[in-house]
Amino acid sequence: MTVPAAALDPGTRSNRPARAPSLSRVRLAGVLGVLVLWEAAATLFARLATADFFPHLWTLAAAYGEVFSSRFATDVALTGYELFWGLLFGIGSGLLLGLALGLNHFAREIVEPLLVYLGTVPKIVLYPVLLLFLTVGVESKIAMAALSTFFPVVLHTITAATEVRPLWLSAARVLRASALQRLRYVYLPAMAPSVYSGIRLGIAAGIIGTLMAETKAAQGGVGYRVIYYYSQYDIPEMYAVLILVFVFSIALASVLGWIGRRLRLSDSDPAEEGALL
Amino acid sequence: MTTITNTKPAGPVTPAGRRDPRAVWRRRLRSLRGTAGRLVIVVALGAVLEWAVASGRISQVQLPRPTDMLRALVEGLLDGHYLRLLGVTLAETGVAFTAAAVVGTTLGYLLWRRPILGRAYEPALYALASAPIVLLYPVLLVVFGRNPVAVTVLGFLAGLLPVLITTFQAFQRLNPTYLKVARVMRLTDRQAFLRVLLPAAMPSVVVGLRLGLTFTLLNVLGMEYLAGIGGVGSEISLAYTRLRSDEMYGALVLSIALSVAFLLLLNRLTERVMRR
Repeated sequence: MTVPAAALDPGTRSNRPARAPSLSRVRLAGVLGVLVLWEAAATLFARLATADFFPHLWTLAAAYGEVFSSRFATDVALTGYELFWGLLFGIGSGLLLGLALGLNHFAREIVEPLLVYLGTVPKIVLYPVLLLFLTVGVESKIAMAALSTFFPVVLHTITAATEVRPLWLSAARVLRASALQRLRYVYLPAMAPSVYSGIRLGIAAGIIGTLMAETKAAQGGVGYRVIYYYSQYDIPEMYAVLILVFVFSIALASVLGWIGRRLRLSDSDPAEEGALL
Repeated sequence: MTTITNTKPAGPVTPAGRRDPRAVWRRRLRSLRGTAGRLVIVVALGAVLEWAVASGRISQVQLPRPTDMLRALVEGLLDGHYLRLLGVTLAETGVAFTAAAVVGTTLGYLLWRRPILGRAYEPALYALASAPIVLLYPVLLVVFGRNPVAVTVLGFLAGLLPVLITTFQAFQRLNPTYLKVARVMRLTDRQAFLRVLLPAAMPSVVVGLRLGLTFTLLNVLGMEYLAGIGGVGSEISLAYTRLRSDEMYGALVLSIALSVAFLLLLNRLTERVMRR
């Protein structure tokens, strides 16, 4: 009765590195596999029917020419404008309310659960309300971005306040630290990691919120562009824009994660990213 | 560190291991005070809005009276329309989550069993987890058509990643001693998996499943609204195009209530599972 130990204990696999394929080869195989599967699907569906929702890779590449030659930059600029103000309002209000609640125990006890439960509601369903009050222009998208950003920021800021240990505050008092010194040496370092991950998640949520709002009702922007191509049945162009959006989001997430690690701010769980509607 | 989980310790425990009844009472009183405070806030907000609309400071079209919203909600529930919508949404969520749970845990486990794959694709998984999956909804509309199947597939995709990642991490973070003990006791693969690995990884896997279910529901509701197909979410969109703001707000209250009820239920359930 022998036990396949290698299967039970991943560690023992390194005993025979000679036969193990290298990481880069496995990754390359994965990427190639996806591309080949995509091409196979494209060929198959092109044969089977008029269905062209799996465009050939070269069609997809050609679609970028069409996208970039059609004033795509104005749409990017518009979305950037909406995002800038939305994130500013969302992060600002989230930090302010989070601090106020974090420092006031009584108010926090009452309001925090309310925010936690509202935070789980997909914010996009509130978009029609914003449309009714702010019309289809940029204002409703800015409000949508701010609303999506607000919740992760405020909840993480409240949590951050609990990470300031009473012991540290007593130590600061014993050392006769001034208010400014307490802020600089106690509050800021203790709260920074949690606040930072709140802001990171808030930015991701703000981007998703803005783009979703643009696909629902807008006069321009990257999300509008996606849904425009969808409505025209220009499927390769739709894919082209979506791929850009995905690449941008992933790149931004990894840059923010890298900055966080660089500043020695703790990293939040990757499984909890995404789906911040 | 999460915006969704809100699990608190089950109550103060005395050194003897029994709960101190006075502390339990104090905790109950405090939570009662919190609930009462929240109720006051919600009711006061409703009253202010009611007054603002009744006095014409806010237009009826933009915001109906809160009492009218509630009436629309109750009427919708009584004539069965909302129940049907809820049924569609819950069915989509249920199917999507079941698929995500099965596929996610299986793939997560296999990824751990083949360490080379795990190490190679882990970063890609994390990257995908931070991608805006919901924006794939036009693609799914093209592929599956404008029907609840497309919504279900999006819910599946959204729920899959958190389940997969947490399962993989759960196995990866297992105490190596467990594996050694299993080997020393000469357990077969099957025995080791059922008696040692699975019970040890279970708590983290449950957290992942919980996260996956929340993501699935969020994405299902979101896509229903965006695409105007399916259950509760689509009703909001339809009522908006019909210019019936009381019905729109009624459906909105319904979807908020659905998400909140879901979270409450999940909290209770995970608390119970974790305690065992």
